[in-house]
Amino acid sequence: MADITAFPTRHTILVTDPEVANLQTFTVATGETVKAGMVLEIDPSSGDNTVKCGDSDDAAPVVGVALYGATAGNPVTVACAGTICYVANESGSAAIGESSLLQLADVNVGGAVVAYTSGAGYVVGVALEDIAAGGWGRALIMPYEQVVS
Amino acid sequence: MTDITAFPTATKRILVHGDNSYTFTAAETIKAGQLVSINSTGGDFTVYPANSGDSVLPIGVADANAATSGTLTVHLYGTVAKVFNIDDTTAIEAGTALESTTVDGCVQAAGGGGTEYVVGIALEDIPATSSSDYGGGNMLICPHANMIA
Repeated sequence: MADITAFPTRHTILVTDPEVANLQTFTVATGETVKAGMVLEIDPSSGDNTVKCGDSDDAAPVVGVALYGATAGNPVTVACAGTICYVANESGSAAIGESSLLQLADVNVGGAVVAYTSGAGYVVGVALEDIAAGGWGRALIMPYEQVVS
Repeated sequence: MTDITAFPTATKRILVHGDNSYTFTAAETIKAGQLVSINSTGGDFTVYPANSGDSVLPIGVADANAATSGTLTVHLYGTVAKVFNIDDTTAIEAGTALESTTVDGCVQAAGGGGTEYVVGIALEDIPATSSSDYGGGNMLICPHANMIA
């Protein structure tokens, strides 16, 4: 299975109508360059209230999805739990099926997602439709830490 | 404890608090107040009544009845909605984590062992189905799975 090598570009991320639902979003600084649609995690190394591209290797909790791109030190608006957003599939060869739990991908492409299979991890949400290989799909964002006891 | 065999008819408004809802398509007949999950074979944004035997995380609660292929509003993460107890003799205590059951769309207390598909937390006692004031109980929707090895 080949992974994509660069995070794809998309301009419209938020699906839920912000005029209808009282959406949970907040704006914080980013510790590194992020692109619209990247799943973000807390970045404790860059200071309080700072986020970075989500990476499963960091073992850090997911906070939401970037609605816009931003460079390091600048603010980025994050869509949090309960929102429906487009997310990017890290795999360049395998689609993710609708209803799949999604979790952070590894460092190869920060901010992308893979299907959750088993074990501990940081779940991002649930795929509401099939997410094509290397493509985008809509997901209900419901971050939590998957603990196996 | 005796389980009901069919989901009851809701007699009260399902949405108690919040406005984070979205429109989905029903893969099969759905009743107001049923927990619903994404259907992996039914097409994009298609839901069906949640059942613990399916091993799929519920995403929310149906606001109203829907026929197969009809549209319905589903209350999502962060809202408070009425849900219905599978047990017709014993209430579920407030503060209990709730999961899907073997009866489509109902809830029971999580903690029975194995992987639990928790859909939310009881904010009040969820009355037994036979209770004279039966009309469901309030649940905060915050789905997540517990993997118990």
